[in-house]
Amino acid sequence: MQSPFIKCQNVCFRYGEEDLRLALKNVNFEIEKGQFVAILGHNGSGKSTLAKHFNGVLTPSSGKITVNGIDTADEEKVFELRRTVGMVFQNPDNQIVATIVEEDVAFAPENLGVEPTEIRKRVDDALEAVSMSKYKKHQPHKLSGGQKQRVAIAGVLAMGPECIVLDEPTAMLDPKGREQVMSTIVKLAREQGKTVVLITHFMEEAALCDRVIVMNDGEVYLDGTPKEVFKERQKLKEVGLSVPAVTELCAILNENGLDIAPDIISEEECLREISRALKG
Amino acid sequence: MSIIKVSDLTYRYSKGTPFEKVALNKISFDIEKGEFIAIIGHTGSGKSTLVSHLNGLVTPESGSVFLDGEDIFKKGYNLRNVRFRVGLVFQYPEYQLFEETVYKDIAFGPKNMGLSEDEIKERVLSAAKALEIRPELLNKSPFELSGGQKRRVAIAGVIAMRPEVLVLDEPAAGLDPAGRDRVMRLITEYRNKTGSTVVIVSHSMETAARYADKIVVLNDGELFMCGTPDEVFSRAEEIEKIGLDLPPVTKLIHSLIKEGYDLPDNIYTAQKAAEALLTLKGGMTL
Repeated sequence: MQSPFIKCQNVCFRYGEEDLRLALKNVNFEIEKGQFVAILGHNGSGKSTLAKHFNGVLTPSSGKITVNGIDTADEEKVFELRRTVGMVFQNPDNQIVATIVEEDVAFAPENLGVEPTEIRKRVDDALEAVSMSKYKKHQPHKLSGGQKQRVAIAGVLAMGPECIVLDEPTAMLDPKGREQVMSTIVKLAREQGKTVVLITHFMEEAALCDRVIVMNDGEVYLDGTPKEVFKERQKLKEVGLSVPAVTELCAILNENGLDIAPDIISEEECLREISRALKG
Repeated sequence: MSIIKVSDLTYRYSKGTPFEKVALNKISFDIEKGEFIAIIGHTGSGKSTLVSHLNGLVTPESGSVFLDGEDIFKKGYNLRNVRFRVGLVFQYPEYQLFEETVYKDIAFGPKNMGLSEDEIKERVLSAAKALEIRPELLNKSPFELSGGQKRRVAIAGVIAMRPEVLVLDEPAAGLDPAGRDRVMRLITEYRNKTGSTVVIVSHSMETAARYADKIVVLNDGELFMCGTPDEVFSRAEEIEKIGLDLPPVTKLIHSLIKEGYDLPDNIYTAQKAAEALLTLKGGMTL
């Protein structure tokens, strides 16, 4: 059997030596190569802290994380780790360094000492993957939020990482930008086979993943497929989270005696189920 | 009489350069005293530019804003006073916290109004209470707080000036679901208690429908629509075309209406949708 791509073993983390509060408490899970995973949790639940562990920005206070066999605490392997796992953050304005889109995307491979012809290819491929080829000569600061965020994702892709961790990449975007960025992320996971870890506050985004991990108070609170996790409406509400609106609707209808599956997570499924129930 | 009257407001960015762009084009609408208004529109539709005019931060190219019947851009009008009467909370206001302590940060506005120490103290404490900021946080540095706490401190700083009109640009953006609900609930409670006029800017139809009495929809610098949530929702398809997201439940109900089901077109919460569907299904009610 293939060994897991990311493996967390009894991971604990505290921000300061004297800090009594553990930001992460005994976190254990494995993520397979190519899996598309959402991490949910309210503010302060430890989800961003956890994400920063995947490429060694933070290392566990105790316990161990390996990514593709690399121990994230191994300082000698930190560059290899950073090439394996790319990170995208919330605010695209903080992630763009150059004045022309393609130069920005080329920044990381240039720093890695990649051959110029190879850089050209990587930049073109990365911009293509995020549907921003048309804008390669544009100035990043004149792009919309969703476009900037896609450039930031392209910048990470150009490093050729096997895994991409995105920390609330759509939080600052409007609905249109959010949709552009989400369809890009889904494409990376589904078509390019990248291992994708998506940290989000939006339940509808989590519903698109293969698996949802819910963090609460530094611990793994729920872990399963979106259908399994969103069935736990009450448990999610207890920790300040919700379920997608269509899930909520189907659950209420189900509780009131309508013949509707209680584990609906997509709008299409919901429409189909309700149409069927109304006809029946 | 309306407390704020926006009249034929027009504004262009980078006027006279090749980058000239009409940000607002002849916008007119009224805000009544005590009303809760939501301004919605996609990014770049002019929402933030519009609210920056409401307290005179940006001067229009033509048209004006009237506060209690007076033109705030008229020569000789005391604009400084407008800043206290119309309190503006920017997007991501937590980035503007700067004082040594939470108390001092909230006190900054009232201090600039030239109030006495006692009056300042009373206002800081009541604003902190309104935003559920625990007293023990007041002596902490604002930078030690969590994101949600910082957001509430920033809003408290504006509320402490006791503005007649409170304007908030995307007050819930970037918060988790519980944080979003909390900030919106506190704003609503504040408004109900004080009778102040509240204007929020939002991307979200759902937020607008849930909290506002009246929704102003902007599209590419133009006033696209203005009405009650029910009026605006009944034109949901047009709204979707201009790049705003309809709540998933609204989309679902509209699809069912298209299939021929007799359902109301102004539904935006799961609870209301469930009620309507159960009624339709044969007199069942929740």
